[in-house]
Amino acid sequence: MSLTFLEPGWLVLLCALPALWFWPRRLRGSEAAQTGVLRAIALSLIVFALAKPATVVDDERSYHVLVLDGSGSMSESALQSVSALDARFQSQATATDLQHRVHFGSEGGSPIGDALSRAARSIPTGYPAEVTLVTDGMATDQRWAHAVSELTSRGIPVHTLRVNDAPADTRIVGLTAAPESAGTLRVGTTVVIEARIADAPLAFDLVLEGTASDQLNAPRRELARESFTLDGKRAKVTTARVTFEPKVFGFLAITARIESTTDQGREDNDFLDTTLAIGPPLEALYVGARMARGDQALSELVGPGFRITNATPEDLADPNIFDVLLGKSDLVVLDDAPASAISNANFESIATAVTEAGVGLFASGGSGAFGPGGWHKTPIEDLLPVEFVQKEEKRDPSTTLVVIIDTSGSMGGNRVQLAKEVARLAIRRLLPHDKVGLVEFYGAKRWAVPIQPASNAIEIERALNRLNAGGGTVILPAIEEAFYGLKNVRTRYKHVLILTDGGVETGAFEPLLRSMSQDGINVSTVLIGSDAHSEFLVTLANWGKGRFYGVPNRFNLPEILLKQPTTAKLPAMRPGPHMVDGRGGKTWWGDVDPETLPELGAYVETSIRDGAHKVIETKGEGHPILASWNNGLGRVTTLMTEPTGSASEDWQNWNGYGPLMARALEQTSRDSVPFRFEAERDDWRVRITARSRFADNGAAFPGARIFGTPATEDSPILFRRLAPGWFEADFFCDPAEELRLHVGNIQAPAGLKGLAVSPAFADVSDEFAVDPANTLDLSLLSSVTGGTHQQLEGAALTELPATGGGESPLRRRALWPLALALALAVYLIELLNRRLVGGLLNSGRSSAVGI
Amino acid sequence: MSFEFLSPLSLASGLLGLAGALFVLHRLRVRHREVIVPTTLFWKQAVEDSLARKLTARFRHPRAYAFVLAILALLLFALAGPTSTNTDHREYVVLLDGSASAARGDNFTRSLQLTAEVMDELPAPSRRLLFMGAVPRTLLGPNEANLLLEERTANLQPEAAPETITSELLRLARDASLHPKGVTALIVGDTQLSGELAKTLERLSDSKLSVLRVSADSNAAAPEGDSSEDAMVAMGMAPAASGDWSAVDVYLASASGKRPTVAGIDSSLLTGSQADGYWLRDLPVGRMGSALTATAQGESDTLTLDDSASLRAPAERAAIGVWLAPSTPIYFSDAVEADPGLFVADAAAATVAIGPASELVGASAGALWTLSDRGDLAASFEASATAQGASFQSIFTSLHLAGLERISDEQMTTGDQVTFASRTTTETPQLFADAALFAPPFELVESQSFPLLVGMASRWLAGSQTVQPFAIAGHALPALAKRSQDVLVLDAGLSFGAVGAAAVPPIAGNYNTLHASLLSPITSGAAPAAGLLSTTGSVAIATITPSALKASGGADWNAPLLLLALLLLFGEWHLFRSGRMP
Repeated sequence: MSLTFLEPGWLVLLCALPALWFWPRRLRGSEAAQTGVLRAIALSLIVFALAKPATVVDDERSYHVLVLDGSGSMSESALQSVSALDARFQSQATATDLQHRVHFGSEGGSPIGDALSRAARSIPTGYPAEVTLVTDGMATDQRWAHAVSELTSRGIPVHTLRVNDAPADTRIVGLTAAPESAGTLRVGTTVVIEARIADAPLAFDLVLEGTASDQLNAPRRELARESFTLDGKRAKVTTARVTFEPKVFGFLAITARIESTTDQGREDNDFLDTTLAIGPPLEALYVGARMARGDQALSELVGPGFRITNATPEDLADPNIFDVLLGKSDLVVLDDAPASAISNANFESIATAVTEAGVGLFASGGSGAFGPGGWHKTPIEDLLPVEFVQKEEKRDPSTTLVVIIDTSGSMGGNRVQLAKEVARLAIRRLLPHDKVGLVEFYGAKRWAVPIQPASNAIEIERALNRLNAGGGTVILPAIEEAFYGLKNVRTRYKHVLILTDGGVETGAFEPLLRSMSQDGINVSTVLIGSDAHSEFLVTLANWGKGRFYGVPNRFNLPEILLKQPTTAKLPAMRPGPHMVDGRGGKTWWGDVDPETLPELGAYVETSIRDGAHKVIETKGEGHPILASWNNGLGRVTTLMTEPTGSASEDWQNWNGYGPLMARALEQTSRDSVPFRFEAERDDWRVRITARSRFADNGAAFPGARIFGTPATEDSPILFRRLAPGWFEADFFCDPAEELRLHVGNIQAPAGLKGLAVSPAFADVSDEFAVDPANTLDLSLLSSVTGGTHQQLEGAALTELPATGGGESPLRRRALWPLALALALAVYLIELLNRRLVGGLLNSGRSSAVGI
Repeated sequence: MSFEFLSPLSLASGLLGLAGALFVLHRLRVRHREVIVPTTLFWKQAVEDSLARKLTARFRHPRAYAFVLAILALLLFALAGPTSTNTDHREYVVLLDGSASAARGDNFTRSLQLTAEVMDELPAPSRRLLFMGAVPRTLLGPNEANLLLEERTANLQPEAAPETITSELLRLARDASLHPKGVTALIVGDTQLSGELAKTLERLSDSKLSVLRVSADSNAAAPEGDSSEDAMVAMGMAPAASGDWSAVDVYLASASGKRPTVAGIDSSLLTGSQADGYWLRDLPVGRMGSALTATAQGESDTLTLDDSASLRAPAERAAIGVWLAPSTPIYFSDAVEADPGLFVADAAAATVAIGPASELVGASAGALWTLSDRGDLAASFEASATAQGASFQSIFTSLHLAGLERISDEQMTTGDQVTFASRTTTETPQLFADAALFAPPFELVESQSFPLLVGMASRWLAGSQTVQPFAIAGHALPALAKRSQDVLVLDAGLSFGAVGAAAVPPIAGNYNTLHASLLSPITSGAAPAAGLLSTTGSVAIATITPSALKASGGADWNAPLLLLALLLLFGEWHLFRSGRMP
């Protein structure tokens, strides 16, 4: 123990004390000396007190802090129990206990964290202490972490006494967009809203109403209503989901309300408000050339979730303009646009936008897109989830050959055999679908083989073998016979082959042959067995638009050219109707039943690529109709028919087509905001977290502006990167104000086109609408801090709980009151002495001493 | 006014007692004594003298009585300890900055001196002193003696924590709005405060909160960042963007924008720029050791607490062994083999087992992924479809985030058609998947996200889903790694609990599960304090000197009382010695 003077400067006054001996005159005699000494002591003590002597001593006391919940959620009986406990607490006070009480909840809400902080602050450093918390744990905010940290770091135990829960009362304790909707609240999409309902009745209706948040006076419109029936028992918390489709871009104030005939509890907690940020429609760039007003038709089909911009020929002609349009778009719709209508540079821009900027590509159409002259061998071919199947047909056109063989006498010997050989060769070149006939002339004419399929090779061969030379050479009737025979035949080519040795009569060949030629019948001539040139046969061939061949012997057999086989591409569109199957889950189909998918009028056959998946395929063959995959950062979806053309006419009359197409486009579109923005509020503090939805390569950076006045719009919120893909910004905002933000990627052309909202009092619950999942776990609190936990009812609290923490509590012991008390006593003694002692010492004197 | 040592009743009683005693003394005839008269010769004289020897006499000197009584009253009044000299009835809260910024140079020593001076000037009953370190605590409560301050601050040092004064001011502002006369907050220290804060405090407190900065010089300028200082202001980590399972990307930024040095890492590996920060791409986790430490130090850096930052990385990201039951569809095997973080393992060595329920019975793996028919699945999940059931939801959410195939959560977990669910209530984490998910019409296996789903689910089951993105003192831990029911234990032994709220490591240092760094751009002066709207800077709070506080706090009554008593005593002595005092 060391003596300390708080104001030692006053001790200098002690220097004035000797003056008592000389002022106003010198003390003489023992009486005066005695009085002088007493006065000097008194004055010294006063000066001593002026200097404030004190010592610091150990303090044996400890703090006991009682934190009492007086909030509205506490029942009357609970409050009475709390009062009784408070009285017992006070009655147990001893000299070594420093008591303190903290009440909370009487001004609305149950800020348990704040109360614990106050409790901690009431305990000076170094003192052992304990905190006893009496509450139902229904904290209206979750701001107790700092207080708990403060208490645990100081080793102060928190004993908890739980008050029994209030009677069950149906209340909505949470209202948010469901996780699958959280990042995609957008006009035209299906938004799923989750309401957390505590002590929900067994049967109830959940009604969702809404109005634009800047039109608070506008009448609320019912957005959705859903009936729920719970099986068996009432759960502590029930999650009910309702869906609706936002129609307008902006902030939407919604209210969820429970309607139930069995809820007998409070009515002021049967509803809950919040605000949703409904993002703008997706921007789609429509590139189509074959369908007039295809963009408008598509827009009507997919509804308000998309803002479709038509790329004009002028836009397509200027790569710069096209790139700007691409930059603003979330999706490119290539609707049966033939490759000839789009430059290679545009295709490359689309490919780059898809793979590197995440823009979606929806490629649809018929032969113009996937057929000949389509996107085969363009830069976007590799982007597509399907491979082109461009089937080619090898065309071997059907032919009818009528062979006219001269069997006149001049053809005797080898000549007729040679003619037969030539005829055989010509017939062998025919295919089964070709036809063949054989006319012989020997002064008369005769169909040795009537026109018949070339596949009857045996019969034809037999007829050919039966021919023998004999008779005259009269060819004209034979040609006429062939002509008439061929007239009734329907093949691609018709050919007459005349085999003769040249001894032919004269006649009106020219008109006949020219007439045949006009009817598509060619006539070729073959001179058999002579080296001489037959001018006549050449002329016949010319008139018949055929060819002349000379066959002098069996070693010089010609190759008779009757037809020119070719190959040709098959038509791309496969006309239907085709039965189709839908695959995949609700992501693509939503509420649309794939079983109701109508037949498809026509489609282009393709094959699916590895890694892509089919949403719709043809029944049986499995050809992809709607297929999708990711390519680079973007998604590419193909529809193998015309979305609004005649090929999909049956689909257009089907009420599921619009929703299906809207979902397909939405699935394909780029996420317009590459960050997920979340606003956390802690009273006046706001922290906005932007989490990158993709790997952070440094290219994107989040931005935000407060929606509203020009002043706030001009004040961008500055984010800082904490970790790859993780950005934060902090600022202050009145918790009673709804915080509305423009958000987005400041480095993207589209800029801050997204919306985010943090509703007012987002971090505070209503007193009677605390989510049981968010209550303070009293047992855990006690466990973490080293305290005990018990129910208030039945808690004896016969003695104050044990304290903890503390190091070496000190307190000041002030000595100046003691000095003053002594000074007072000494002065009184002096006065008495002047009356008594002084009188005794100066008995002979009558006037010098006295009062 | 209140009395420290006597109650008003005691004081009044004492005064009455003194007045009475003094009155008795005045009435007392001090010369009264018995006299023996030796002879009748003196009898007459004795009779005459006997009149003067009466025990009492009439009260003849009221002015002397009043004079002495005044002296006694003054002494008694001073003895009572009149302490309330608070003339404005305001509450005074002194906030001693104990955050990292106080560790700059000799700031803290000067702050302690100023604090002592300030406390001397403030009325004890209505003032308190808070040390605003990582966890604010009361150094002096109301009526506690300033004498204790020296003892309580003897071992006090600034802590490696961001400023906490802002939070306290917001709390005080709310209190002040309810206080009849308002609250004065006196800040001792150089911590910077947001420009928005002043406006906020004014609105929040209905202008009842006055905020003053205590300075030795009344013309002191608002504190600013020191350009000669440097500090680490960002250090975070994420799985490598390249997709390399065993590597991470690390982001670093210093206050000055200069390239920080990273222990054990060649500086040439750092890419980036002064404006955008620096990156360590594809850093193998094994190379980081137990922690990766980066340093940024200015030339004449006097604040060292913020010069370095550390990240604790997983010691290794060993591939997870997955055992596939014989009937498990082949596409699971394909997905496991395609994932660099997974490998197909024997049943005995596997961490995760995947297969039909019947084949997983007795599996030794620590985590199970059961593929069941819907009926069996619903039955097995019935007991665990509680709040815990949603814990795997984040996996699906992150699939959304990845921008890949979007799986409908509703489809996965909708009520009576449980198709995908998780259970973590037992020691063995489990996933249940409806086998129908992998067949038409869902055909999840054909999705590009199927391998990702297998990878993420296996990692979730094995408990190694993510890396800790960052850990910053005073900042809530990222949600991905939030284990709010854990207690953070600092190396020094201090424990910090969150009890279900967001876990916040209050101070930079090594904890049982992580390493937290300071990384405060406000402390380092790299960013405007808290207000991160571009138009606001740090606020210029009015300064006040301790001596100026005396006027607002009023005078000390004890000294004047005693000085007056001394003066009167000397006067009375003079009168007495001059014979003019009866």
